[in-house]
Amino acid sequence: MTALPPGTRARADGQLETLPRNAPAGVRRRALLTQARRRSLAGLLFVLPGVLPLIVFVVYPALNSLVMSLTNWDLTGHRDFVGVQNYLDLASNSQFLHALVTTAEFALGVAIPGAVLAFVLALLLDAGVRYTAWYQPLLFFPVVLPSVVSAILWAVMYQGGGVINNLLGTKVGWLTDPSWALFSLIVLLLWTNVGYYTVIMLAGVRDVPREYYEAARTDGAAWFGLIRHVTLPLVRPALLFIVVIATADSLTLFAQPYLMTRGGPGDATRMLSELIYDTAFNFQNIGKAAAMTFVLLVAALSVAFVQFRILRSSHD
Amino acid sequence: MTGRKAWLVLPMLLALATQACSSAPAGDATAGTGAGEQIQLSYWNHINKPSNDYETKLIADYEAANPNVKINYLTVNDADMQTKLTTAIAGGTGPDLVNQDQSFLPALVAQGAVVPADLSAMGLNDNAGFDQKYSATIAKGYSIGGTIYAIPFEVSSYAFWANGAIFKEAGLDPVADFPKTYDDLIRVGKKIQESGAAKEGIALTMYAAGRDLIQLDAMARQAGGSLVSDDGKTPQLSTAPVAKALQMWADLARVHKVNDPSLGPTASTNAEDLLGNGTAAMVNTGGSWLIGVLKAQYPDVYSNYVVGQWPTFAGGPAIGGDLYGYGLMVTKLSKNQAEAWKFAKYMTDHASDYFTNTGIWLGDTATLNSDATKSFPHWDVFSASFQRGSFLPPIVKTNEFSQVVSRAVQRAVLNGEPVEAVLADAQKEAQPLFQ
Repeated sequence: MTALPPGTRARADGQLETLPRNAPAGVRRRALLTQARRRSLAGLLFVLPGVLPLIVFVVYPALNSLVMSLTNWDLTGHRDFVGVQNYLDLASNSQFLHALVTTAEFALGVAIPGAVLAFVLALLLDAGVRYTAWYQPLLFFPVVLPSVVSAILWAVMYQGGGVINNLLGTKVGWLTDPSWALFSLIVLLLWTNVGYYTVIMLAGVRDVPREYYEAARTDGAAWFGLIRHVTLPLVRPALLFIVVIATADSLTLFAQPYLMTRGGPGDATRMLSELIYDTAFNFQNIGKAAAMTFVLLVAALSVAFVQFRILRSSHD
Repeated sequence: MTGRKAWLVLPMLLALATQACSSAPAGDATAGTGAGEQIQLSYWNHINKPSNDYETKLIADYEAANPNVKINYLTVNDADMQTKLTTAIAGGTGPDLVNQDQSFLPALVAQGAVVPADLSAMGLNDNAGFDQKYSATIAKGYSIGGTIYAIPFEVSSYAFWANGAIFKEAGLDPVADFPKTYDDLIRVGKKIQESGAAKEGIALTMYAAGRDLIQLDAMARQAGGSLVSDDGKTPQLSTAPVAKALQMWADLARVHKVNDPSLGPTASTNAEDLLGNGTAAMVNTGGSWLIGVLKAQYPDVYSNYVVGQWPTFAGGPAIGGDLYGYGLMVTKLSKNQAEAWKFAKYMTDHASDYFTNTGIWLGDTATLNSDATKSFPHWDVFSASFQRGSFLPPIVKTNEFSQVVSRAVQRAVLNGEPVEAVLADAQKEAQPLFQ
C-alpha cells in the first residue's frame, strides 16, 4: 500500500485532491490515513487490551530472561556480558543433564498414564454408572486442593509407617528409596490432576454424535470396536489437549517435589524447575538459571510441537 | 522496519534498557538522621514464636522511648530468609536490620550487602571489646578477615535428647543407659526397637541441607577431621575422618537399622517432631530452644525428656555439635544505619531477659554466667556443649556447599552407595565452589 503525500486526500474516484492550506487540522490529519490504515488502526486498538498484558507480562519477561542468560548476574551486583558461556556450561553440567532426563521421565510418566486414566474414567462416567453425580466432584476435589496441602498429605501417607504401607502390607520408603521416589511423585501428580483431565475428556466423549455409534453397531462393531474406531478418533483434540497440558504441568512442577523430597534422595527427583529455583535464588546465579529456563522453554515447545504433529486430527 | 518486526524489537529494546538501567551500582544510601526526624526502621527476624513475642514487646518499649522511630517488624521462615533477603536487597527494598544465620555472612559480605558492625555504637569500642563481651570463639563466627560484621543474637549447638519414658518402657535407665558412644547408641536403639517401645531408636536429620552440613561436620570433627580447612578455603570431603563419619551415619540406618529414614523427617518436617510424637526415642538435633518447643507442643515428652552430650566414637575426642548462630546485621541499603545499630544495642542490652523469656542465649558471657542461666533446666549440658563445639569456617558459597554435602548424605544413607565414591564425587563438586 502506497502512502498518500502529506496534505492530500483520496477522492471517491481515486484521484488525489490537494487540501487547501486553511483546511481544518482534523481534516488534514484524517487525510494522512487511508481507509485501510484507519481500519488497521481500529483493529490494533481493539486487540491492544489483550496484547499489551501479553507483551508486558510474557514477552518482555521472556526477552529479559534471554538477555539475563547472556550475563553472569549474581542478583546483587556483578553483571557482565558472557555471551553463550552459560549455555556451553550447561552442556557439561551433569546435574543439569540429570535433571533434564528426570524431568522428561516425569513428564512421560504423567502425560501418558494421565491421558489413559482420563479416557477410561470419562468412558465410565459417560456410561452413566450408578452414583456418577457423586464420583464427579470426588474426582475433581484434588484439583482444587492447594498443592502445599496435597504435598503434606501425601508425605504423611508415604511415610514408613504411613497408611499406604499399612494398606499394602509393605515397608517401602516411598520418598526415601531412589527407585520409588519419582514414581511416588508421579502418582501424586496423577491423583491431583486426573480429575481435571477427566472433565476435559468427558466433554470430548459426550461430543461424539450418538448416530455414529448406532451406524457402527449396525455394521456389526462390538464395544471395543466402537471405542477404537469411533470414540478414539473423535476425541483426539481432547486427548491432545490433555497430553500437552499434562506435559506442561510436569515440566513446571515445583511445590510438591520441593516440599516432599527437595530433589532427593540424592538427585533422584531433582527436576529442572527446582534446579532453576536453587540456581537463581539459593545460589544467586541468575544468568545460569535463565539459560536453564530457556533450555526448558525450547524443550517444552519442541515436545508440544511433536505432540501436535502426532495427535492432531487428520482433517486438521 | 515493518510493523511486525517492530513488535518484536520493542520489548527487546525495553529489556535491554531495563538491564542497562538496573546494572548501575547502587550508591551508598547511608544518611544521617537528625533529632526529631521521623524514622522508619525495618527489622527482619526468622519465625520463632517465643522470640517473636518478646521482640514485639521490646519494639513497643523502644518506640515509646523514641517517639520519632517506627519499627516495621517482619518475621520470615528461617529456610527462606537468605533468599528473601538477597532478593529484596537486589530490588533495593531490603531491611535496615536483620537477624540472619551467621553462616551466610561470608556470602552477604562478598555481595556487599551488609556493612561492618559499628562497634562503638554497640558500646564495644573494638574487636578486643567484642571478644570480652562475647568470646574469641564466637568472634570467629561473626567476622570476616578480622572485621566484625554482625552482633551475635543467638548462639546454640545441638545436644543429644532422649525420651525417658520410652527408655523405661524398654527396660532401660534413661540416665545410666544414656548413650555416650555410638556403640552405646546402637545397643540402646536396638533394645528400644526390639521392645516395641518406639519404631526407631534415633531420628536423624535428612533433606535439610544446613542441618546435614553441621551434623556431618560435627561427626567428622569427632573422627579427627572436618569438612572444610580451618581457613575455609579448601573442602576436605574426600578424607578418612569424613568417610568414617558418613559411614557411621549410613550404618546407623542401613546396617544397625536404629534409624529408619522412611519414617521421616521429610523435606517439610524435622527430626525433633519424631521425638515429640513418639516415633523415635532419641534425636541429636535441638538446642536449648527445644525445651520450649517440647513444652508447648509435646507435653508428654516434655515431662520425660533427658538431655546430654552427643555420643562420640569409642576412644575419640569429646566433641559435640557444631556451634551455629544468628547475628544482627545492618544492610548497606539502610538509610538509617546509626538508628539501626542503636536499636540493635537496645535489644542486645536485654540479653538476660531475652534468655529468660525465650530460652535463647544471645552469646554474651555475662548471661552465660548469670543467675538466669543457672536456673535454666540442664544449662550445664548446653554450656558444656558450647565449649565442645566450634563454628564452621566462613564459606562464601555456603548454600551450594551444604547442598553438595546433603546430596552426599542422601546417596550414602538412603541410596546405600559406597561412602568413598560418594565423597569423591562430592569433593569434585565442591572444589569449584571454593575457587
